[in-house]
Amino acid sequence: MASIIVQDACVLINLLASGRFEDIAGGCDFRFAISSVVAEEALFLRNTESGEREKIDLRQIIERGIMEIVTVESETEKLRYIEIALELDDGEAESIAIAEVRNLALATDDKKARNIIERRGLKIELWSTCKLLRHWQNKCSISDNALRSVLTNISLRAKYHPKFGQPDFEWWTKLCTK
Amino acid sequence: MPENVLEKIDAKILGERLKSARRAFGLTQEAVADRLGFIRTTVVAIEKGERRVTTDELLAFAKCYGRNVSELMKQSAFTEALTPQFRAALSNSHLETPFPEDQLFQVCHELEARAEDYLELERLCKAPLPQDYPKQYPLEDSRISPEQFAEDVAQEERNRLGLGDAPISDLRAVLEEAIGLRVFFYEMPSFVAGIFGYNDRLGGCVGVNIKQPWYRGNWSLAHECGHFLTTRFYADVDIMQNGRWGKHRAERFADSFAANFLMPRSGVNRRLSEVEMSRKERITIADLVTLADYFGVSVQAMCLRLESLKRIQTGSWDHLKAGEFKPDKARRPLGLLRSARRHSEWPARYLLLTKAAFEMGELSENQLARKFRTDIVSAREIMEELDSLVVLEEGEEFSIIPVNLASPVSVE
Repeated sequence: MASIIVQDACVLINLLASGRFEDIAGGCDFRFAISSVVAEEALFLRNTESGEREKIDLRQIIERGIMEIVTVESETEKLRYIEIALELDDGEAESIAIAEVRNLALATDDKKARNIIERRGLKIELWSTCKLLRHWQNKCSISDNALRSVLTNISLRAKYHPKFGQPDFEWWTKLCTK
Repeated sequence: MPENVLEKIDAKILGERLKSARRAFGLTQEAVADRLGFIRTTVVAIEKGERRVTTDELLAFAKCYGRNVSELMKQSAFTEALTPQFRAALSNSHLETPFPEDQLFQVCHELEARAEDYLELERLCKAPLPQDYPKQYPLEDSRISPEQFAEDVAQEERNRLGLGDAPISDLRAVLEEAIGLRVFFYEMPSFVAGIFGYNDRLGGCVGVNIKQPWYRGNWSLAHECGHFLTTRFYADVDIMQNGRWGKHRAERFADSFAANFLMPRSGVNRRLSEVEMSRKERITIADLVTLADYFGVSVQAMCLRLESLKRIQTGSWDHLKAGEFKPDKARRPLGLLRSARRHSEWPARYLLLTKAAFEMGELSENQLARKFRTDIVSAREIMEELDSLVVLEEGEEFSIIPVNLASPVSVE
């Protein structure tokens, strides 16, 4: 297993919405990273009380070393980044380029990003929001009740849940309706 | 090492895009060279396509112009299909008060960007926009007044579209679905009412200021449609001021077309006669407000229309205005206050194409959010709203069945 997982913006939003980001980051046996472009993007969550958008502030979790920022450095990374930016946005392209060249894992739920990785034959260990949560539950013996609350937070604050027909749909639905 | 994609891209095309991005950001070649530590001739050569840009240079340009690399690499990026037309339109406008050019160009760029996004969605979904454009009515050749010509054209278009002389309940749907115009409502500076642009690739594109009241938005939409019918190849920005622009033949035509298309002479006269005959009294303010609502126009527009049709005294609107008449105050007791009524920002077809493209894996979540000019979570909400929910009762159990609005009705 890779020692670092690069998260794209969508997975990052989901985990931040969970209300347990720090626990998830600390409880797993790898470090979290995001690309420099994702770090500069304006990301929001929904405030469940006011219904308003709430801007995500990453400074604290970066300063406290809970997550690190990675950026393209070598010519190989830059070339891959530009090549993938023909099909995806910069944050996604940079995340994929870094994960591939540095042999890191990538957490993404994005169908298009996954399709591109597969089509191009890029050797990247792929994770998803659900896979990360399941790993955390097993690793740290998180109760179903605690995980249900995490999933509810993600549904309400990040408006994310696996779609009908997706591999984790049943797992998610079963846990939420237990 | 991955293949160098920059060697495969036409240096001239990429140079043009970099030049457009620089100009949109408002920098000279010299200023860019200073900021990035290049010599000016390097910037010149790259923009002319005489020298290939390196990876570091491309990343530096993107950062300097506040653009994503993906934006600079996108085929349709900065094509400036409509912008030169707007530039010409604005320089010929002879307005009494000059308006901030950068704000106006932002409005023009946004219309172009939205139309390009729409076109890209059609390409991804292999669903080109069905168009049934009418012939162009040559205003210049017309020997009658623009107002008279507009009435004839409005009537012809109503007949062509099978609208008769009834009110148009959803003007936008008519223009989008029956004609094939691309219509967007978005925020513009308050001095801009609407905007129109056309080219062969994008077709007719209309932008309307979403901050306007619903009725006024309808008027702006019909006004811009008037430009499409006559001066199709000249872009237009409808600015709310009494400058010389307002007296141009094309503007007089567009305004008169809006009046005649939204409030056809025969339809208004018939409705008014019905009101008068039922009560045998003169037209009241309540009648005026009700009639305006019935035809989907502002009270001012209806009042001026009735004046021009000689159904009420000339100067009636000025008289009402002098008496500090407030339309909303009159609408409230009549149950016609529809302050929550808003034009949707995006065409329904645009929403469905975006959803389809996303579900096919042709758009990432970031790209989805960009298509809606919003953040990822809000874009997810839009997608969720399109999956409207049906709740079924099974005994005491309720189950929720998501309905995909983009899915076909028939089952194979």
